[in-house]
Amino acid sequence: MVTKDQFAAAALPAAAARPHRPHRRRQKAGNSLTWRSAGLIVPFAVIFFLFLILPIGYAVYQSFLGQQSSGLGLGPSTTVFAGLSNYWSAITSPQFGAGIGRIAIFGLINIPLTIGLALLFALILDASAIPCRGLFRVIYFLPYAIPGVVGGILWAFLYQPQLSPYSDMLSALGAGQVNLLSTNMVIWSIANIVVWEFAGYNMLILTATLNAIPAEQYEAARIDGCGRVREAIRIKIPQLRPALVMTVLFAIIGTLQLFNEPLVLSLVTKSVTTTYTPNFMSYTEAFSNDDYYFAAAISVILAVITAALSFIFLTVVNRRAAR
Amino acid sequence: MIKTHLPAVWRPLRAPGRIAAALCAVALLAAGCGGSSGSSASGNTGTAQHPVTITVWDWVNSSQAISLFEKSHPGIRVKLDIVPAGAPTYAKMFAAIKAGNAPDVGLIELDTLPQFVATGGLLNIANYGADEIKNQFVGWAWNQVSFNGGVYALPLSASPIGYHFNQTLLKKYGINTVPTTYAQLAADAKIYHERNPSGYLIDVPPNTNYLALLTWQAGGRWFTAKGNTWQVGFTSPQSHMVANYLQGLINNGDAFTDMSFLTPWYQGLASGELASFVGPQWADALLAQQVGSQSGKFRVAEAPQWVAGDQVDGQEGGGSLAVFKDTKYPAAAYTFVQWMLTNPQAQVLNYESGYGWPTTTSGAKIPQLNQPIPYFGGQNPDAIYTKSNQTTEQNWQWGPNYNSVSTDLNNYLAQALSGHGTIWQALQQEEATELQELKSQGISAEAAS
Amino acid sequence: MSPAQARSLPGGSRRAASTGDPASRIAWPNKAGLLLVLILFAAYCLLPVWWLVVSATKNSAELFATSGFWFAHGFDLASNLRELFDFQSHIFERWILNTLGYAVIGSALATLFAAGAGYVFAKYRFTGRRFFFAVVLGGVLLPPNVLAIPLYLLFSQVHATNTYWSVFLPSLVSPFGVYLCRIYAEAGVPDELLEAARIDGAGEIYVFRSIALRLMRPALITVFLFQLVAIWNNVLLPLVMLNDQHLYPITLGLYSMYASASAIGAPPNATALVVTGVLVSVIPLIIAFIALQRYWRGGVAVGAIRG
Repeated sequence: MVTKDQFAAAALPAAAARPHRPHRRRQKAGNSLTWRSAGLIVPFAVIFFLFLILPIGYAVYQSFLGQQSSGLGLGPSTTVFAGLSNYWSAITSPQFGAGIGRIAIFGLINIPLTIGLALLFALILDASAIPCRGLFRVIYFLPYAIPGVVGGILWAFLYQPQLSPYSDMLSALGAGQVNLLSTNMVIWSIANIVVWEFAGYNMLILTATLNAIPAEQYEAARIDGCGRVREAIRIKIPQLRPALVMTVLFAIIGTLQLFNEPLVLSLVTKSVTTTYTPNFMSYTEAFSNDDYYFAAAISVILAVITAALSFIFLTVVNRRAAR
Repeated sequence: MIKTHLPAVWRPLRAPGRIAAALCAVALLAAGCGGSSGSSASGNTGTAQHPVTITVWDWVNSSQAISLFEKSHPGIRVKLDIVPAGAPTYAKMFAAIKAGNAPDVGLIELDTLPQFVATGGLLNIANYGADEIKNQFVGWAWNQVSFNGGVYALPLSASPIGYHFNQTLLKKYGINTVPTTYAQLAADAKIYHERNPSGYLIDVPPNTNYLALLTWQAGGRWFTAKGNTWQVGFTSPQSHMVANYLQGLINNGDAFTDMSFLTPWYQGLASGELASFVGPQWADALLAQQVGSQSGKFRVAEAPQWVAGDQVDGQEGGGSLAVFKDTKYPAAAYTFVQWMLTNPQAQVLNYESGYGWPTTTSGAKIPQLNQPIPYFGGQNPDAIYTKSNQTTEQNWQWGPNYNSVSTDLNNYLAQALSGHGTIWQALQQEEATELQELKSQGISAEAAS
Repeated sequence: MSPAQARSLPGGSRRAASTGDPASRIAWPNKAGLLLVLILFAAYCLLPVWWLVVSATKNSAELFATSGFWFAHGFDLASNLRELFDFQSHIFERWILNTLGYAVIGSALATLFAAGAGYVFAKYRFTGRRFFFAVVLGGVLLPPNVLAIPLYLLFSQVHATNTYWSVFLPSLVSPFGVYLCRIYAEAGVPDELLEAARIDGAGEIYVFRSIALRLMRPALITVFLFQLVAIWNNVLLPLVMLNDQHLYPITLGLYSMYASASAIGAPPNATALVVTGVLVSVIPLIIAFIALQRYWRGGVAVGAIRG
């Protein structure tokens, strides 16, 4: 377990003392890039271009195309330029809108819960002399070690009315026969899987930040007579800000691309349709409906929304920080 | 034949040794003959010295039939690729057709076949003699593989229907005679649920193929090719009637509404929560596998009818073997396909591998069909399924993009069954969506009048 | 605060251990309450894993018949395991190997590439440096799931789908890794050291390999683990790219087993096999994470502080 002091002495000097801004740049007298040192960045540049820029570019290109048949459509079709019609179909598609609505609701449930729980337990484990603190941290982190789809399968078993110990527990507690996979419950059930998977991981990021807060700050607060809770609010949470920003940002990105858990649950319940989230819809359009162009348009829209939301979020957060 | 999204991973693969031996043989022979490529030119069927190899994509393990074929056709080697069932494989097939590396032969369900014909990627096997064996097949099945004067596949399996019911449960709650009409079934469902509040007599799953079956039986048609235009009939009077019927069951709370052929549905049958269903012949194997606890208690009866005294049935599924246009060996591929359907030993082996009910009149007479089935307490349902297959309404068409229809309508139905709207509204939505979809692709379509 | 002072506080709680955390001043009843909360959350995290262990010892019939949280009469773990590994000509082992290839080797290479790029961004000046870095950051915002279908479209254009490379190559891109490595390189690799090495005549690559990489180790481990989990979790990419089951990673293999557990031809024990498969895929990871605690705990802090 890295101690605060060790951390302070390590390569990162006085992180807590500097005001926090994302992408801090240090104006060093860096060397100019020689062709030999360029070799260090070329591998990344090549794969970044080939497997990130190029696919997105190709998807954008394909999103402007369409298929045209004639008559009964039983002869071969031609590929034509379709302009913005794929985008228009997506925007006016009630299923696409429903999918966006769902991930919005899902985000509103999932992000506060995940980050909130992460924050709560990071603070508790930091503030108190709890025995086996390290053990608790490892236990909370364990679900992260379980890959998403596998976790989804695990929880799908746990949700199935005939198999579920939780259903049994709930009915024993007097809640009656709760179907955790019904239309109303399923979004909470999916949120539960994601919270379970990621709360501990986020908690660890926050814990590491807390560990880096120098002891002197606590001394000063104690002298002022701060109680533990005030201490948390006045010292810890502000210092956690950059870490919180990062975790929330990744939670937002993760929410927007939700696919794994609905994919698994769609196998066991009709409440999860094959257009449940935009990503799932894109997959269905491409592979069940053979409409790759429409799927490309959905992927592009999703990418744009992700980028826009992230950008807005960071801007808002930074503006707050600057005030 | 199941229409599912489920990859059938549970297929024992062919012994790798056989494939290796075959490939070695071809390689050696090719090398030994000084790289002759003559075998691909003449007649495409190859010879024992220069056999050709065709690739078959299938999700049923037909390796026994294939071994038999290879013995009697030394010039043709068959490489069987076991692929996932249904949608995932269709996606690969579509992509392969576009990329130009499709297999030689593929298993395609009858409902998705028109969509493949539309890609232009299937071979018109009328040119290889398919027309000559037309009379060996049941009429409704042949109608579903013929388009624009061409024949694009041979029907391989049918899904005649029957009423599968848990006799023990029905007797327990006082349903002593099997309903013969859907009206009677609804009435019985009501009584059953009153007597057994925690159980249901019948199910209403959000399953497009099931809705298709009921509509098919009612004489309705979702797609009719009139000249060069599709008439789209999701909102036809028959559709409306079926929708109202099913909605009645749901509104009264008399039906089990989980998706059929998924785990919760099997669990419902196993626990007794669901007592019966109208379903295809291939459900028998699934019941034996998934609902073992009720073995011996189920029976099969003729499916209910919409009009008392009528005998009109539909199908819930069905498969075909198609040859892809890109094949290098069309004659060999067609020889294989035709052999699979017409050879008597093949017919037996195919039924036993799990393809389903034969589509040929000769196939329907094999003794393997005429057996008592232990799961049904020794009952022999052969007569029921044979009759169902023969009385299936002849003119049902699946339309040019059934895959899309199925996806969309499954979703709309799921919404309706969860309390958001009615089944009729789901059908109306599908009618609008489908018309728009077809038109946007340039296909000529109009609402059926 | 001296021990004497600490003891005089209400509740008489002892000062927290040598981690240097502020002394706890919790009264005992409160502490019990907190402990309860902590234990409840631990139970929440662990119960599914416990269910998994218990269920892998049952066959399918027992799974549906007995309570999830305790064992059934028989103990079928050994036979389940045997059946699992025999399943479809030992394809499960193949899946494990594939996953090692995609995830472990892929992640290692991704880390190496990201380290090189991050180092260059941190230590060298060149035109367009800010612009390119912004582009890389934009890449962070494009999660793997959004890229999967565009990647499929691209690969099918060059007829490269259904190959090992179609899943492996896209996994080598880690923009977040570049970001982390850049920050760590800026703050943790002193220019003076590099200068000294250069004066001594060392080449750039040598400087990078023997000095920078060594100093960047915590960041490297973080990037490695982050990318490892990202590749593990990405099921959409292999799902769309791969037809051939022999190329599947274990996540996709388990998904397809699960999907076909209720289809025609599934063996009677299918559900139990899926559960056992899940256990086998999960336990090694958990052990690895516990064993490597020391490394990732330190590394995780890197992103936290500089984020």
